[in-house]
Amino acid sequence: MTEAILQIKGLGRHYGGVRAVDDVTCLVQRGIVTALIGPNGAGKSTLLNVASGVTPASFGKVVFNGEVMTGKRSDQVCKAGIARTFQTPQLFPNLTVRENVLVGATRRGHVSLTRIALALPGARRDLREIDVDTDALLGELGLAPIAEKLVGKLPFGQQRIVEIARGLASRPELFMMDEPASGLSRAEVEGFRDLILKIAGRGISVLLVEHNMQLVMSTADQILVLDKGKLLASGTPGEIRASEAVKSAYLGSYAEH
Amino acid sequence: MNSYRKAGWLLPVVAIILPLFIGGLPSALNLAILVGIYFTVCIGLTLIFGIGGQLSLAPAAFYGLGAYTSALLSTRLGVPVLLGFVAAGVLCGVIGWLLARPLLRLRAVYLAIATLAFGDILNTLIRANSEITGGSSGIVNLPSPALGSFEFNTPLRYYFLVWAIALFALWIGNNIVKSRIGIGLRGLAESEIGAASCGIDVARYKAWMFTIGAILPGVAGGLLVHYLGFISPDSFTTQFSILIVMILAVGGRDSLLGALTGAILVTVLPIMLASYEKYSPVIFAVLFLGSVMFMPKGLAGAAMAAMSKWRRSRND
Ligand SMILES: Nc1ncnc2c1ncn2[C@@H]1O[C@H](COP(=O)(O)OP(=O)(O)OP(=O)(O)O)[C@@H](O)[C@H]1O
Ligand SMILES: [Mg+2]
Repeated sequence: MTEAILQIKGLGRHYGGVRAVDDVTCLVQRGIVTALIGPNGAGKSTLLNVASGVTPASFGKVVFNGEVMTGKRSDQVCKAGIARTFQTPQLFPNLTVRENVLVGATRRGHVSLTRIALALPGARRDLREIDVDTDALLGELGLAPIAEKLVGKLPFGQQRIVEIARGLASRPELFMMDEPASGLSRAEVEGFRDLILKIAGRGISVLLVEHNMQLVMSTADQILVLDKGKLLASGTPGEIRASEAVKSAYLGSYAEH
Repeated sequence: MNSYRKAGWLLPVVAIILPLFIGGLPSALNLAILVGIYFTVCIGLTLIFGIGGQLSLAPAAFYGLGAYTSALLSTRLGVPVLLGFVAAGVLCGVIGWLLARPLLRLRAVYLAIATLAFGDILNTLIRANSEITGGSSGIVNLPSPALGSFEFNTPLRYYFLVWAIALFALWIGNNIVKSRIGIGLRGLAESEIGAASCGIDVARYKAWMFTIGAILPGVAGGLLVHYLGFISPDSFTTQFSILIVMILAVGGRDSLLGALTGAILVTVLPIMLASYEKYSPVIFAVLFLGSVMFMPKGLAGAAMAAMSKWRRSRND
């Protein structure tokens, strides 16, 4: 399939008088890293929230793999194959790392409640298979040594990685991340760059909301720029860097960083 | 994990051999029956509240609904009592399922109040329709359950009936708690947005647990009244739901073992403190506050923590 994995068509989300997202049309291409950037309050998180069913659209639609996502609940969007992380992590602090990641695998191998309640054959096999997968994933992301620790007790940087692991456990086709590197140390951001590239290398399409321009420029193949709810520009990192409109509206504010 | 599995085998064995020691003591057997009935109710609330984080005060309502269902079916229509228990569970399950979605959209205190109101409505209806329900004075001479010609008409026989049902409920509850659904429930109690983004249908999970949390008290209510031989609306007041929440708080609300610990404590303690009866509300209040403040995982949680600490220190 060469068609874009995510099509955003005339999308809007208004909160009362606030036009958080206002008539945005753009594409997220398959198999690459697309960055979504813009100043504070530009509407980036809102766009992700609408696309993932956390909040409804006011108008317009989001199409994923040819299937309309707008109007679906979050869990249905996840089941369709979209994983996401949140600007403020939405982890389960009193669950262990392994348990958090196990919940992430909900999309796979559904077993009915009756089967589980009565311990019918499928139930135990299901948990065993998912366990093996989870171990592999934890190992791959370097989380194995802390697998039995409570997530709420981990340093923030590790929590961010757990949230990514939880998303990967669903085996998504598209992974949307909302500022995954915010609050991380410089060294941790380096690690994150590798992680993002590794995820993309597996063929998972990535939509990355991020303020750290170095991280964006070194990972993104395409960049979408949002400003005041509107799409200001889109293009390759080179094109965005050269764009006067983007410079004046946005990048200027990063000069001092 | 391993010791937990061992504990899982231990309980049925204890339940079977316990009557060897207390079988001759009607008062002790009586307590053991009450513990089994409370425990069954608590398993339901552990799932919806202890694990799923939704504070429902509906147990009393379903306890009463189940009790009246089997009492009325057996006395008015001559339905066998065991079948009445099944009918009680089914009716409570259906009503629980229907109420679950609208109710569970409410959060925290609002959910608590709404479920409380449901209980009050039911209680009022029972008192008002006295031609059917016997009103405030209730119904007496309820028959004992029977399996063919075998009647559960002695405390010892009733003990085995109650504990067979309680242990079956425990088995189901435990299967759920340790499954992916159980982990997901604990997750959604902490972040519904996070759980939903993982593909969990939050409303559906809650509705399932609310339904199980309706079926179990429904059956338990039937067990209670056919043991006592009479039914009256006084046994199904708000007070009862509060008692169940207290059992979970004292025993430990996030595990089924906690529910059992609490059920034993709350049933046995008043007997042990009988000579201080005047002070028993105070003692209970102190116990409740103490466990909420100092043992967030209840007595069972505190004991488990102490045990693993001891084991670690021994290994060092
Ligand atoms: N739930 C809400 N209710 C009301 N207004 C909201 C809500 N969520 C977002 N907004 C408003 O919508 C606008 C866009 O917010 P959004 O969080 O999408 O921006 P953002 O680009 O993610 O910003 P940041 O970089 O600071 O995270 C802001 O003006 C914000 O105040
Ligand atoms: Mg944001």
